Amino acid sequence: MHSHKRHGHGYRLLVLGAVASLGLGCTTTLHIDSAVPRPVIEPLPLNVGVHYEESLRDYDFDGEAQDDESNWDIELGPAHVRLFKQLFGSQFRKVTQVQDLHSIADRTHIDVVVEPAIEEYTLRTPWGTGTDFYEVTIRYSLSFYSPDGELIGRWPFEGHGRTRSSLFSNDESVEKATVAAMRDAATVLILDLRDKPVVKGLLQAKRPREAKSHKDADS
Amino acid sequence: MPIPDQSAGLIRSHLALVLVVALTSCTTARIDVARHGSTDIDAHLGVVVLARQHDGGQDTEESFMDCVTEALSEGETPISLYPEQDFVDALFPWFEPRIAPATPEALPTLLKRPGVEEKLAAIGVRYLVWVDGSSERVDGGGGMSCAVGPGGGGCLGFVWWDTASDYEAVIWDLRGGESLGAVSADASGMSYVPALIVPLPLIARTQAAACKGLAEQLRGLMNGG
Repeated sequence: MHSHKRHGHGYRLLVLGAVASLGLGCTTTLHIDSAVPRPVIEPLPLNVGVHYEESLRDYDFDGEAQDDESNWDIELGPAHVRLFKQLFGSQFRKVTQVQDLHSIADRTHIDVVVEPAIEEYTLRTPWGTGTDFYEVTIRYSLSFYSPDGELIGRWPFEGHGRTRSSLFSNDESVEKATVAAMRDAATVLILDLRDKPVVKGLLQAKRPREAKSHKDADS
Repeated sequence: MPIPDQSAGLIRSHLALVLVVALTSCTTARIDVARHGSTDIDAHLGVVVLARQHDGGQDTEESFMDCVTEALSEGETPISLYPEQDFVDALFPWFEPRIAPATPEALPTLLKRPGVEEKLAAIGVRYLVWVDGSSERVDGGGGMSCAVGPGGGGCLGFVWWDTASDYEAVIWDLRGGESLGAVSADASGMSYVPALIVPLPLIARTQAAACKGLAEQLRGLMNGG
């Protein structure tokens, strides 16, 4: 029913531009506090180790928006650690946080170790997009390691979010767009992870073993 | 203090212009209703009103969503509404923009997913109202210049623009997996800002007109009217 009309934004952009120019040269600082809700999903029958690299825990976007010279300092690391803890906690049967990829204490009880990372954060503002919207794209990667610490796979994915601009609260709009992008990425992770070759292989290998152990328990 | 003749003349002509503009400035709205099934909603069964999301975000303004939900939950026959964000969070990720059901035919598959039907029963939501659309400025023109000097300041000119508000709401029965009806509201109007010393905005409230019409018809549809 609805088509995305991109004309007629002149007056709004003019006002937004005037508001923005008042703070020209300043950096807007944001802390993303939101967390994703607990997903309504069935966990995969895998025991997973998760390694949070320092580059993820301390990830900070400190730069300019694309096609626009507004400066932003957005703290993303802690919110992403919460996001992945929530997600993996629901997605897998058992999750163990791993401090060092190469010296895992109880490796016999771990099927695979995953390491999420933020590769790139992109922000586009209404001045850059020529629309009424702020847009955020976050590119991630999920690396898979064997319990011995050997890299066995890597999956790049991304989340996209956008939100309508509102006068005098551009930081709130950017936060909403960022949270929308994180939720979108979480959705991709929930939908597609089980089809990734490493996970698929582990699930297939696990099926006969689990069936056998159930059979042994029954007899 | 007596008003000088020249100023009084200016004020009179300004008032006359405002009167002419106010009389000609208007909003027209058209509401269409389509009923697909029985929608006699039990007041105890929850309804959630959701903004349809496209490409990672919603086009529908939050102010419009607030207006519709407020209008539905008030009045003589208030409808019990479940908060939008709470619903999306409770069913996460199944109503995220990327995978939210686009048609009622997708509902049976969604309900078969582990935990979804139980969660819907737990939060007590039976009907879903999808709202889509937005208000856009479609045309405009004119000009205005303002100046400030030692003796004061003022503006002179005339600016106008057309706004089109185009919204649609569809009601789904989550348990039955079917669409029960749809309401569309189109409103258009021209806004003016004449300025003779002081700018005087005369805004066509197309979004408010669309909200009022949409909410009234939705309420009628849900009450089996």
